[in-house]
Amino acid sequence: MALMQISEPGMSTAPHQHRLAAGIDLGTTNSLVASVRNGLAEPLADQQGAVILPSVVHFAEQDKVLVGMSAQALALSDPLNTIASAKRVLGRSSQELAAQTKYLPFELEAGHDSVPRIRTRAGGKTAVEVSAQILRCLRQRAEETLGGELTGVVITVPAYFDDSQRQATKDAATLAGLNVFRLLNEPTAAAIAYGLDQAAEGVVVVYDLGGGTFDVSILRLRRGVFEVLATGGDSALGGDDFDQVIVQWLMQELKLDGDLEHQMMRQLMLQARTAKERLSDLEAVEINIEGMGQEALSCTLTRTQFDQLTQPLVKKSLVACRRALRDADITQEDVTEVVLVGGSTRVPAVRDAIEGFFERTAQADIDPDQVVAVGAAIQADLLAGNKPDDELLLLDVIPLSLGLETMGGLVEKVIDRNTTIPVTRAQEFTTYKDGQTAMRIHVLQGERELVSDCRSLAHFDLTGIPPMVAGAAKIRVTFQVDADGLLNVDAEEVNSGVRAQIEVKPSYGLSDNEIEKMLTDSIEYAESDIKARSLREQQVEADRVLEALDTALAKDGAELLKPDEIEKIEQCRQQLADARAQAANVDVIVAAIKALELACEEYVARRMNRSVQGMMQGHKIDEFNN
Amino acid sequence: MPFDFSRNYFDLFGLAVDFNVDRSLLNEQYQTLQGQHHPDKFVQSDDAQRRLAVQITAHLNQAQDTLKDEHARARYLLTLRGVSFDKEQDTTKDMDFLMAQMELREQIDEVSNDEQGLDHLDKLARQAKQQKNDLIQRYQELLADNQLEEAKELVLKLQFFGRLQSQISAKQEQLEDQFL
Repeated sequence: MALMQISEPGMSTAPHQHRLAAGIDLGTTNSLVASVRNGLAEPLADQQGAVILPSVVHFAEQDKVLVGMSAQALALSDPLNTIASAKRVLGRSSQELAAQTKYLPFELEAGHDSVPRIRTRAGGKTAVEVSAQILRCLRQRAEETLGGELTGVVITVPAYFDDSQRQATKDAATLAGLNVFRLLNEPTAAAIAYGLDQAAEGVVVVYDLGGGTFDVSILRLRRGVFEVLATGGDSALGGDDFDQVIVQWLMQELKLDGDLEHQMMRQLMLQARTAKERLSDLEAVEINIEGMGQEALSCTLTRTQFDQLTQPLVKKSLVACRRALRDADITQEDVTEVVLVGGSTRVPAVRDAIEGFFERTAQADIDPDQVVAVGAAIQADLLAGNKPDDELLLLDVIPLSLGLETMGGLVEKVIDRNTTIPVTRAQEFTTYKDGQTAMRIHVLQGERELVSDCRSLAHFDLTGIPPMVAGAAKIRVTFQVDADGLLNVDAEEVNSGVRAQIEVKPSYGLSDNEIEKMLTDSIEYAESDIKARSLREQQVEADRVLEALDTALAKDGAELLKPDEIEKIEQCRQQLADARAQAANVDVIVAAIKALELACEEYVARRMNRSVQGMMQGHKIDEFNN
Repeated sequence: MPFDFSRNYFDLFGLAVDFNVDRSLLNEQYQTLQGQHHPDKFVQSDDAQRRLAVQITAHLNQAQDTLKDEHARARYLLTLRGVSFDKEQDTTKDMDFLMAQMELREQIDEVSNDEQGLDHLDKLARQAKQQKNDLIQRYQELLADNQLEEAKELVLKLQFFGRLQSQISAKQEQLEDQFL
């Protein structure tokens, strides 16, 4: 392999040239950019001194685009051209979004199935384009502040983002003219900010509840090594959901219609968010809604009511925490530190629940809104080669298992969730028909056993396999996940060297519900999965038996069997075929296979005798086997 | 120094080729090698070097995963001695063992949906662990005697315990979710 000889491991960056680099937290609600200056990582402020950039883009007349505060100010007066929460659409398809019950603060154009377009006066905009506007704005801020062009950036993504969401994020960066050093998981970034700051050692839990996503990561920190032991979460759980719960309560309380104008809806959302934020300090808040033509409405929300309303959401996050502990193979007692990240961890009930669950005080010394960007900046500085002596090593994992479709609609896992990346795994398959020249490769992500319950990432075909007898071809499918968590799949017929390859870059992503469902379901339905799986396995087995019998009968049935014997075998064959077709019960199929095998015992013996005789006469045994 | 992909996993980490692995030494060596080859060290390098870094670290991860897991390690040790495993066909033919496995699985399935169910699962997990340990004990004796075919049979049995454990975990989570 030529590839191996030209490389010398080690640092390859030229010394003594400070390269400008930045870390970007591209959030659902807010975004930030941070950089290391004079050895200190800090968020960069805009000209007004604000470090937080609301993730809002306004498309104004004459192709003018506003980003951030100025865009947000137009949310009420021009809601449909003011795009917020675009991250929730990133890497997802129209169908998936349509299936989602959550309110989206914008309208999608019809007819773009794979990549949804948000309707604006400037035309249909994809989430990638909207995100690129935000990134461009942050890039400009960084380059003006730092006084030069950025060599590269580290962009953070929720740890629970799947392959297509990660790819879409990278696409947005490319569109914004940024060189991406690395996509970094948000909780890992936070751990870097804390870990390097305090030279921490031990097991750290990062609980990251942002505007639209929830992650929990468990890391072991030791002498500059950050090893992610497990990660879990919910890519559709965040502060937005807390707001939504308040909105629903408001609508009930104020007897508002279910089908509200966008303007009204936006106002309710804004009021809900403000109320939520104020309830972090106050015991009760009054909410006033201007009636949009009707009279003004008002009501009071207490913290106790709010806590009750949001309790199911908090509970959901704790379930993910418990699963992550189990995946990391540790218990609460092993945890040395719990770190809070994301604005939503300011909710007192959230904090209480976490502290209760982990039985310790949670840390929020670094501003939960800024900590992710700060960690990303530290990583960017290192990757730029500005600190060649620093020994930081990050070992991250994939959040969801990756697998392939196999016979009978089953998923064969190739890489398990929480496997350290980069990772390469190969699996061998074979053809199941004589002369088969092509094979379809279907790549999936998720925890369940059936294809229909997992998320489809890509399909591709391996063609040009030389015709061989069934089972003779050796098809090796290789999965490779790089340090950004992005997947590449490669298939090769080993004997002939025929290959096919795909960079898994699907044009759509999982629906919120789907990905959330995938993990909870894999537990809830583990039992029914096992039953469904064994049923399918027996169906496949039945097909195999039937096919083998039919081939044999066609070949020498008439020669070796008397008509009444054939009839008896045919009877049993029919029973199995019926049991197979009804597909109701595993036991019935198993019994039918047994019965058929019994009926064929004599026939099998005669066939074997005959092939032995054939061999003695100088024939090859292959001529008699099929 | 070019990276040698053909070295066996034990050599790679400077460990003796033996079933008993010093976990802390493995971990230390693994991290040292990761530190040298990790893609994060090569973001400024050319395409070929970046690809190579991914390949090397993926190889290191695979090697570490193999040595950390008892079943994978037992199997790997046999392949180093020339024993081959054919995934499709190789399975244990010990009917008593298979029946016992089926029974264990059925018991897990039928655990009651309450606190006692959790205790019951703990008991089953301990039971499975004991059986697994016995197999490993026996495997090591066979390996020492170079009785490779017999040792292979035990490795084929060992693979059942991984699945058993994940079935128990899944059931535990299911029960715990209900109680929270």
